[in-house]
Amino acid sequence: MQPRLLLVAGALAISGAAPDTAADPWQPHRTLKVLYAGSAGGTREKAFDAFLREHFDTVGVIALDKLTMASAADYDVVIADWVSQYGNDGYPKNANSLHGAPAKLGPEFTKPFLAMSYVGTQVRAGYKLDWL
Amino acid sequence: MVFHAPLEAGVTLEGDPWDEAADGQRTWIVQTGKEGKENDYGVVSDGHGFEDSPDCERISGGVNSKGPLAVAIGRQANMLQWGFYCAPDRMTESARKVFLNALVYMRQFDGGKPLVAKKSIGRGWLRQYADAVSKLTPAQRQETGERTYAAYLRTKFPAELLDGDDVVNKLNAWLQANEERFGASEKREVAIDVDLVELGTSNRTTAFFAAVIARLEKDAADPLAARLIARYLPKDVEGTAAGVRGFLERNRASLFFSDVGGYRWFVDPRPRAASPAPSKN
Repeated sequence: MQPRLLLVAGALAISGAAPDTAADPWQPHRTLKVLYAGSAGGTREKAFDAFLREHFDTVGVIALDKLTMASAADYDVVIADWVSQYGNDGYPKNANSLHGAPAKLGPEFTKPFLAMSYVGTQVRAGYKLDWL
Repeated sequence: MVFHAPLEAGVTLEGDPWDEAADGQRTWIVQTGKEGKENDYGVVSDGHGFEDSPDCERISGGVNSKGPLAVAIGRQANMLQWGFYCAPDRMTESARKVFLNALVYMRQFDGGKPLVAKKSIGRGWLRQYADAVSKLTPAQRQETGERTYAAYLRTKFPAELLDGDDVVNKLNAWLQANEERFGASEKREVAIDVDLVELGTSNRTTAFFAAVIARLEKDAADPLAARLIARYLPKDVEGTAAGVRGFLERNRASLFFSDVGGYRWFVDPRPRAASPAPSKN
């Protein structure tokens, strides 16, 4: 009898643990490890942090100038973000900051990443996703 | 993929069509708030020739001042540009879902490196310039001020095409006749390669290889073939008929020609099984 009970218990455990992906297609993707690298302490960081934690189990937040292959090693995907120069979203207006994304992610940076707005043209200039 | 999975984003097209839209469709609203007041401007990248290397995919355009083919959301290798500025708190619900899908989608490109750097502009720019000329009035086309748009556009074409009547038809005929003969010129411009005209084939189809091989088989020291090999093939290709043929046969499945990469043939170094055409829709 004992092996049979164990089998039933195991089946119940598996049934209970299995996510209902048909009802929630997002569930299997919560395990994606996402690193946000942006302007530390600002409203954008807060917005991304809250949004990402709602959808992923593992979220890291660092300043963009700390983004390297080493700092991104424990993550699957990175978001590289910076602020606008126009000052329409709570950041200081600064016409000189357009080219100020403080990181370079050349071809040696092979971690998948999303570059927000013009950040890609700064961190990986000279390739196809550059200024037009 | 990014529009429909894992989450069905429910993208809908709203409002009036952008008058420059390449597809004439209406607009996907990505950001909330008033432009330039409650949200900010983003960026687009050059769409002409963007997908002429197999590491790139154009995912979405966007309303912009650079032209209907400009890339707002696009991927090269392991980098996806999300050209819209707003953080998630100012994205629409469908944009938030597409953004999440994009994060999931990008995971497969771990280890990716760009196959080409941007060295030139794609020949498609000439079509856009011709379209711009077609929208000028005859009087505007005659404007001579150095800083006028007409003067700028005149630098893109042979002068005789822009004089007299029937300018649009002349431009279109010229483009059609020379589409396969364009190569890079100085200052990132595009120009007719007279050596290609003499060769009689396109520089971006495999007919190029057959034509060069034929010339070298006829004359092993053929100077035109030597120039074309130096201009369009990788540096390590031996400049003989056997060398060119061997290069083609070894790499046929992995070859691509890139205008943006400098009007050259490249070999995709990625293992074939690791570089399938990804599904993004």
